Amino acid sequence: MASLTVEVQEKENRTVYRAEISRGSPSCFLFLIDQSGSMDDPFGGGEEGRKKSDGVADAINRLLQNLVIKCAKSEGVRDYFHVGVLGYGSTVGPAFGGSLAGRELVPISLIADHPARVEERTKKVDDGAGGLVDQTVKFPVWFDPAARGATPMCQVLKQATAILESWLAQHPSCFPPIVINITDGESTDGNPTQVASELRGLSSQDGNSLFFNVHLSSSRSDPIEFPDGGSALPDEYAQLLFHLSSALPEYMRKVAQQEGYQVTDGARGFVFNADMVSVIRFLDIGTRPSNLR
Amino acid sequence: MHVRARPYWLPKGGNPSEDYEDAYWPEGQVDREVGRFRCAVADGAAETSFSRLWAQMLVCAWGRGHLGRRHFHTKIPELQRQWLAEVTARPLPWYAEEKLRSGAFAALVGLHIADGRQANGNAWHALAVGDACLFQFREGELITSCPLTQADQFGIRPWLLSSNGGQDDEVVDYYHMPSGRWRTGDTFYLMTDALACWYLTAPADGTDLDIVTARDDPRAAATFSAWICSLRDSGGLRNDDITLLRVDVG
Repeated sequence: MASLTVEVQEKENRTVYRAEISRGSPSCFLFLIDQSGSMDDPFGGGEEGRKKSDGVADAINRLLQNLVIKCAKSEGVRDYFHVGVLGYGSTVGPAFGGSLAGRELVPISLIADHPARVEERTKKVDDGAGGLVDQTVKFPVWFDPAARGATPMCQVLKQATAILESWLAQHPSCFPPIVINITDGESTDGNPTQVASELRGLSSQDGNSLFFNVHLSSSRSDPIEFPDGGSALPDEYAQLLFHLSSALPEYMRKVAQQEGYQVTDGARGFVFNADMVSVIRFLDIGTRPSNLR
Repeated sequence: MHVRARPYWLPKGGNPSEDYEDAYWPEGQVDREVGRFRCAVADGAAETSFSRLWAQMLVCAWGRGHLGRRHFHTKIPELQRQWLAEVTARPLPWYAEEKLRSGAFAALVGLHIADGRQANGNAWHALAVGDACLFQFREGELITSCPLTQADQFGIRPWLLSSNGGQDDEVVDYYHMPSGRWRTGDTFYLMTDALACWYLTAPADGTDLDIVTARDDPRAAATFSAWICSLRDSGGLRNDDITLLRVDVG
């Protein structure tokens, strides 16, 4: 079974993910966010008592903000990416708030111009004299936390597959879509292996879609990031999520190495027992564009 | 001395010319007797916003003689203030405000050539920060390459001039101020990184560069564009903004 999975992965990743990402040929990110009841439990590490749902919402909002800023140029925001967020819990579907509610994949310029609200937060910055001072920064919010119901992972994967099929029909030569699933629990509507395989099997001329998984933790043990095998993972469910995850393409392995990770050629886009810090680092590496024009 | 200078430029393939973020000085062709001649090219970093404006300010400052060795550390803060005033002259959306915090960045190479009748003889000096390059050719041979000399040096993240005050404290460690002599018939090329990297990867193909840019007819720019497109299509040239300034002295 393990060797078959490796062969499939190698076949899936036969291309090199070199397509340019431009306004004429954008790529897309799709985030699948577990909104089941257990997401109201606290993270194991990091800030004491912080709910996982709150932490993930902050991480997604920060990521969207960073993507917008990355695409911002003098004349406005360039549509290098289309981005979607699907929530799954008591319901399954698009999870943007405000005027983007109900939208599946949205051009990044529309995301820039339509946050649900813009909050003001403070952050510590270098005062230039060896100390730190509070600076007020704008924090746009597109996605609010939710935690209710079960974990219908198969259903959200089917919905993601349908969305990406349509996207790829319109963008056949794009840099392949990247799907990041953030969950703390076991699928409650069946084994997601087959539908995840179908999702990874979707491809543009530049390669297969990439499917990465973040397993959130309520325990205090250290995360396992970008593993190349499932044997070190402690339970069957973690092993399943590992096997569902795409191998990191070469460019992304290099990014991970630059960020200090020890990643091997077989490293998968998977983190087990993720705390808030590792979620943010994973999202940063998993969404770093390789070839922006 | 007689100077013939001609700029060539092209935006990234697939992008409109408004997206071109390099800059060059002088803005047009030169073909005349002069006692001194100053020229420059700059490459605004694609990841930053308002980088074309920053690149333009740098080449203008060099071209007008305001950014020389003696003035560098006083002029750069002045340019940074001007840049900030210009980009914040109108209200900005939240993302533009956030992006401004990191500023704009640019590589710069400027060349100053002095006539032999001046005090220092047939001398040139230059300023180079980042990966924009200066090449000097004599009788078809490369005799100066600055600041980079090998293609593999382009893989390293270059130190660039920042539009933000406080981010250039270490610039003194990263700028180059080479100087040398020129002879009648020498050719100087100032290039932004993609074309410079191509040249240092395949210096034997430099003959093509000479042939393409030696043309002196109305179709010279079109010939250059077609040549660049063919290099991009063959995979030999990275798809980036391209700027080349050719200067012949005699």
